[in-house]
Amino acid sequence: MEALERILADLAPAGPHAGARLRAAEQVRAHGVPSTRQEAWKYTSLASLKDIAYRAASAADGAALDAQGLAALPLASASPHRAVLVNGHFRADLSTLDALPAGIRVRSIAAAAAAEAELLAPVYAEHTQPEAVFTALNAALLDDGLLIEADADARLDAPLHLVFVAAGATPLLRAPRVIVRAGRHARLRVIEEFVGQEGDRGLTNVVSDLVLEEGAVLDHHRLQNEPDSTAQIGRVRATLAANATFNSDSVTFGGALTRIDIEVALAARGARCRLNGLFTTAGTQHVDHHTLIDHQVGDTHSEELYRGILDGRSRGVFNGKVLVRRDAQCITARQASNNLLLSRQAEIDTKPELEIYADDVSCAHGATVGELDTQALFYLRSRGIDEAQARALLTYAFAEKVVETIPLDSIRHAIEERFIGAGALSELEALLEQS
Amino acid sequence: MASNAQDIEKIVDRQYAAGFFTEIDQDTVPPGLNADTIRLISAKKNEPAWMLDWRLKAFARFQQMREPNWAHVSYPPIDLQAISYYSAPKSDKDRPQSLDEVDPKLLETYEKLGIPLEEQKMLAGVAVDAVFDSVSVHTTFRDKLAEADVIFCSFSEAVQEHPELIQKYLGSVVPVTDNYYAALNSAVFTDGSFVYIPKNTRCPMELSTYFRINAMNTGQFERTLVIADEGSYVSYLEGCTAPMRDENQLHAAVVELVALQDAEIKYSTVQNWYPGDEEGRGGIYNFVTKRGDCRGARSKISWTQVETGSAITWKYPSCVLKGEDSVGEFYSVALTNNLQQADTGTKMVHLGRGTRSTIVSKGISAGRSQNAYRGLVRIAPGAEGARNYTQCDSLLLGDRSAAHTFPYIECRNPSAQVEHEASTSKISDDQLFYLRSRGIGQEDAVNMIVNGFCKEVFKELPMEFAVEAQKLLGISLEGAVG
Amino acid sequence: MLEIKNLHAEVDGKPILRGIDLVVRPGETHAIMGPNGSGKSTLSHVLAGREGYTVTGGSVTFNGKPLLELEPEERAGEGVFLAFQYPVEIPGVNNVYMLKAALNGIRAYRGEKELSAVDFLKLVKARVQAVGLDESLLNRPVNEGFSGGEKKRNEVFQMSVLEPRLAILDETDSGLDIDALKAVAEGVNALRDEARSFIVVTHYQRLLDYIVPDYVHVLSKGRIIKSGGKELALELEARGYDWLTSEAA
Repeated sequence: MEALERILADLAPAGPHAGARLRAAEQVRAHGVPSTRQEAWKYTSLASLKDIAYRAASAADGAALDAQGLAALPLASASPHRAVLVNGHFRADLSTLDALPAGIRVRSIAAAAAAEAELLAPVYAEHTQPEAVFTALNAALLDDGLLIEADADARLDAPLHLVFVAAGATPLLRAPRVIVRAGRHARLRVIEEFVGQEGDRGLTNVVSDLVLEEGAVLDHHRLQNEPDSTAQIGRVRATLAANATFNSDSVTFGGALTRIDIEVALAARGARCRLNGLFTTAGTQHVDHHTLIDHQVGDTHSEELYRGILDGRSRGVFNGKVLVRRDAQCITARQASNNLLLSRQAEIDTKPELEIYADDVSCAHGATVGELDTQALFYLRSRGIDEAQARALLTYAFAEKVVETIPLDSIRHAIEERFIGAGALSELEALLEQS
Repeated sequence: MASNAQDIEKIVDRQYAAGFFTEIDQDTVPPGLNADTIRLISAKKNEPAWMLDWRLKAFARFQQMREPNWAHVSYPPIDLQAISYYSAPKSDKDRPQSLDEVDPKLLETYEKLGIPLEEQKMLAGVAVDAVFDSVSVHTTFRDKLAEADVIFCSFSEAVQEHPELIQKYLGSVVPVTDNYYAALNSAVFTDGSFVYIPKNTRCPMELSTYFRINAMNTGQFERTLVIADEGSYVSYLEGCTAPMRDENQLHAAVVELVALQDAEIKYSTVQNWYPGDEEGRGGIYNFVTKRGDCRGARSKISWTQVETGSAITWKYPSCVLKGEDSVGEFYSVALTNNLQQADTGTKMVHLGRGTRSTIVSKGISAGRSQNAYRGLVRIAPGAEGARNYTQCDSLLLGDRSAAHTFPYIECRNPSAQVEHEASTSKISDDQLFYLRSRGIGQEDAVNMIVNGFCKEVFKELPMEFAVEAQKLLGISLEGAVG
Repeated sequence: MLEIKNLHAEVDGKPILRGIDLVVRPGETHAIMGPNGSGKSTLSHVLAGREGYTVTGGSVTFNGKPLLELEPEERAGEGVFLAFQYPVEIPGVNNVYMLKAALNGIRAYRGEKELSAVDFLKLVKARVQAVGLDESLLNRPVNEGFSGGEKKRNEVFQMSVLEPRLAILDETDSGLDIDALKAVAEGVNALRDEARSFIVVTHYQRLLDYIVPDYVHVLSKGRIIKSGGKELALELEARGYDWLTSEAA
């Protein structure tokens, strides 16, 4: 990628991390852009990005976006606590963070960096793995992002809604970072929603670092709904202390090319995670999820369910690895990858992996690719529902299974709208509840 | 139940039962790999020019290739120059026509291994083409097979007598450039078996070959080619066990199967080569390429393997399902103990309409071993209505052992149905306790559970092989569980 | 209303129905009995339009229309309802939503206006109480996690909402204890009137104690080998099927 080389060459960081950023840039150069010859990129080619003349996004890019412009974007979620980043840069004027309860702090990294340099230290850890090249790139370009802290026992009931807006007149390389530190027994819910203006051709290279201290509970919902012209390469890394609980949902509707790595380190006893994912694509969209659940010690537990619905000429990739380390006994891990192809040109590549070095484990995974259940289809039709509607209903049900555990109506409604029409089901349910 | 783990390890630790070594003079070529070695092999076997030419071309390609490193195994670099590429029993020039003429020491070897070459196999109606090191020394039931026009002979013989078939099919399933070890095999293979079943013929008996590795530093490069012409059926058994050796030995075989329209090939393997000692010294490196082509409509290829031996196993018996409604099957038991490493599985490539495949893989890891299943199910756009079902289970005996599952599923047809299930768990304390409380000893209880775990695969084996496989599993586990 | 003439059908090339003739007039209830493998369920499925059955001969007209040429949902629109022997579990598809889509699908087929959500729920509430289905099952996925009795009751409940002209009950009694059986039968009987017809497919006579048929037909090897009144069912109960099947052979 020529553009990337130019961006790195032009890099002139200042501040306490300048040296670390230059080192990260060096690592990006050393690793180079991944190719499909690498196992981790076997099914995802970045060739389509090669000739795009990216430029590093600055705070000035997208400054024109105002509250009206924001309101015009197709946001699925809403919350009293909202932080907006435009092209990776925090916009206080578009954010509403005044009502946060005591013990919960949200700051822009640009504002926090000078004062609390040590908070950012992990960002600049060595990126020696070639697979981590985009994390290194994010570190090299890191100007802004969000620093979210929850003190011990703090609770945030309404979700914290992070809105990432892609708004580039020319192709921009955006590199926001989200850092969440959930203190002991803190509870919070974070939504990361990615949207953009029509025609944006940028690349969102986002990294979220999540640290859960003992007994903390973090729900992390990711909704990728950027325009079908935007590319995204994202990484979510969560580290869990004892008895911490991490729930991750990754829903992907938009984006031309989306690659998301979600890595969870279950680093102490009693830690558990649930990873759910849903991608529904059409056209020539390409979505690749790589997940790694690392059972580092005993008595840790994981559950994972990913579902893909692929239409048009789109392609979906799922690579889910469960790793159980030596002596990590008493582990349970369940993983499922189910996929539906709706078109003759669509493709799914799925690879659920188990890598197990301890013996007292109960691990299982399943993967399916197939059509809708023909028996269910006949049952619905025999009740008078026409075939197209019956298919839509079953497709919705297939998708809904993934998000049924998300306590966020917004995401369920987005799926409802996509498959069976806005409010088709939820209004009926609400009526039934009332009566 | 605290002692269970230790007990289990004790059973796993039993010595290799087939371990001994027979001294026989060998006609061995000095070590080294170059074009001259290949010319020498070809000359020793009086090969026609086209065969030598094919080998040299393969060698040229091989020299441009690199050793693969993606498998979940590790071993010190192999010095291909230190290997001798040809060794034959001295009696080669004067091949024995009956068992009486066979070196008694060789027969003794077979007897120690409990392989009933002359009597039991005959009684069982099995023709045996035993490969001692690299050259066939004994073949039975030739007449009966000849009556049915079935060709079952050593590969070298086939090169001389059926050049048209060899030229047509050799390398047509596994091209010389397929992978590093297949290319090496193509250049230096010494012998192996050749089978041709004519149209609409059911092979009158099960065909079986026993392989041995019995010479110092002798690489084994077997080549097997089985062709089932339209409407035919054959069941082929391949079994191996090897004397205890102290040095690693490379084995890089290639097996090619071709099933034409309505033909069926059943290929069963029991592999028990020397796995190395408790510290991982010695043992066979088994880097094998096995592939079957379901070329014709409604053809079927079924692989069944029981893998208990070798220090390292790298092996993926595969099916390319080209013919409409063709069927591929893979049933596998892989047991690893001590420091053994296995990376095995299959590839099912669905190209034709209505193609179906079934994969059942059972992995058992004991000691400090590494046991990985690696499989690919690929559904091409034209494979309308294709079906795959995969069941892949791992059983762990001992907390230093490791079990891995790497399934790749690539689907490009919306009417296809692919279903993969996998599980990994340790041997159940509850089951063990239940059996022991019924008065069954620990060792028998473990064997019983392991055999039950493998039952789905054993039932695919021909009867006498199934018995042998169960015995083998028991032997491999003895000392592992206690 | 329903006229089956010399109906032949096969599954995977194997003939199952080998010449069925049956006429059902409005308001009539016909019981189809027969030993296992006689083709009872095949007949139900062929009438409802399930895939996997090949009709090789004969015809079926329903109110003058060629039924076999219609899609399953068109048959439902015409007023045919099949109560399944094994109601399908459909995870994720809400029971009441499915029913609303079905009712409005049928109404659209008949050129009637869609029912509003409020009116629909009024109807549902009334019927759910009439059938005695646990109301909490309405908002659950179709049949998922329902007990055997609940599934069958759900079928009858759907029937009561969709108000078919012809209902086919495919071994509705299988797997039910006597209390559940009575409850299901009551639900069915409440729907019987001079215009609505029923085909009750069953292996045992006991269902017919509660849903009393006008006619009983015995199916064997794909043909109706005997027809009679409700007393025929009692005779079958007493003597089994053998005397009939051997007679036929």
